[in-house]
Amino acid sequence: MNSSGQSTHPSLREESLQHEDPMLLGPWEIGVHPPGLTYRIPAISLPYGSRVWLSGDNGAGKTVFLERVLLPRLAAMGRQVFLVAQDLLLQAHVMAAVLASRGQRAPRCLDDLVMAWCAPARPNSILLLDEADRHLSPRTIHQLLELPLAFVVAVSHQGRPCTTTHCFTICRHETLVHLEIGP
Amino acid sequence: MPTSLPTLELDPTTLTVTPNLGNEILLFARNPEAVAVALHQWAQDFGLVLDLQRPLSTYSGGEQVLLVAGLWAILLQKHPQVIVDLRRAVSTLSATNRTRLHHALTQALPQATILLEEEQVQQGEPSSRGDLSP
Amino acid sequence: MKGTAKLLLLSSLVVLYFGLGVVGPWYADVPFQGSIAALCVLLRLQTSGWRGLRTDLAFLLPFLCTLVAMGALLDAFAMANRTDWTEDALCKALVFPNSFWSIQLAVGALRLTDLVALPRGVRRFFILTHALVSKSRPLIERLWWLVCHDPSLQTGPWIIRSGRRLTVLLAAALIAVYHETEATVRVYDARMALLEENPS
Repeated sequence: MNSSGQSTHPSLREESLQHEDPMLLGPWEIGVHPPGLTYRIPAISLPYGSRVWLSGDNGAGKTVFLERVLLPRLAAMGRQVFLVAQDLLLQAHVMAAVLASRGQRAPRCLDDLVMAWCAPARPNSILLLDEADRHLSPRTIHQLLELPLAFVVAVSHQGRPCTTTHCFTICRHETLVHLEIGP
Repeated sequence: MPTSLPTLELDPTTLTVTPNLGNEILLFARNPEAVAVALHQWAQDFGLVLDLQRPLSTYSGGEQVLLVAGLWAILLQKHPQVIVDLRRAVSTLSATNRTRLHHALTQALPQATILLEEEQVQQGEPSSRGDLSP
Repeated sequence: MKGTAKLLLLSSLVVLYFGLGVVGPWYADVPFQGSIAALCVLLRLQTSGWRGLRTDLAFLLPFLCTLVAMGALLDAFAMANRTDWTEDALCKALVFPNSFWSIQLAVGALRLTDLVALPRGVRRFFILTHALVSKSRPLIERLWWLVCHDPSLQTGPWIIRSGRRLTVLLAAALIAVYHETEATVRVYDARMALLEENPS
């Protein structure tokens, strides 16, 4: 998919080379209302191609972190962000309609639908997987993690996906949420 | 598996009929006040702050499962001959909460058959807690 | 007032308004429509405050302004040899919010406690309708959030991007509401069957 994209669109190759720099996150102190949480994220530099496993207890604020902290900031950096949301079965309707608007036939199988939806991702794109392993097969998760993308974050309660390079944990104390290294 | 028993299936995509637990209690409980009090206690045991009028969708995925499982554990307390099918719901729970929910359900519904992931854990049989973790 | 009596009263009021003011003799009666509009605004303020009213107006005003502008435009071109396009559009601009608010206020006034008290034969229908109406708005808001953050719908001029987003939202919402209806009915029936098999 992306390799063919590179061969047909040389500009994408140039773009990817420009973006093969580390991913810089933080330092951020961000209040999210509702639910009234404050995120303290330290300055982190992750190498190009990092695959991050994000864990944390129920209600720690992982989804809020992905959707309300990380996604807007990555988008503000000019990154193209593909979010596979926790309510993937609902998002699948959007994915199917998006594929139809591109003139493509939407696959009936959810795994194929997600792969087809992610197909336009470029080497400088970012993929956020919010408990996608609840709905997708391990093979598809593996394929998504193997896509040639700048940065992938996978939230999961099923254990660390084997292809991840970093582990972070979201920890919450009352309304203060911070990111810790390691599970 | 005793398939003739009534089954409570918790599907994390549609856990409730109504948008909040207050309405769910009104809909299904014969004694709403008592159920509300018991559910507050259940939530407290899991370290959750329960607001019955808060839309369930604003809780995290795992918290939703814990609260709805609690509601039905209370509603079915006097009628424990049920199968509680958590196979689709447990993937939303952290390893700690899986163990805690299993423990809480075995306390609340001692005669119930609880289905967790691919295996079946029945009361009275030695349960392998280790298998509850991912 | 609770249960069947409340449901009947609210339904009668809505039917009465539609009978007289939408398909009946007072459709073009501006004092009547104006009074109903004022009453609806007051009730809306009472039930949802300024915030609720602002949300309603944000939804209604673009549509109403377009309606009146279209009326004026058709008048300017004397379409179909008619000169009452603007007047008709102004009538519709009163009737539409009145219809919208009368249904919204009636549905909002119904509580689940009223529906639970209904006779068994009609209870299931009204409970499921109430549940789905309550669930639909958050569902569509969530879909809109997903649509707005979809990377394939981020590019292009504002007008094209917005048009594509609205099209995707419409298609996704139709299927999603259908699925939600199906799932809610299934869960309701399963839970009721469970309680009936385990009567307390």
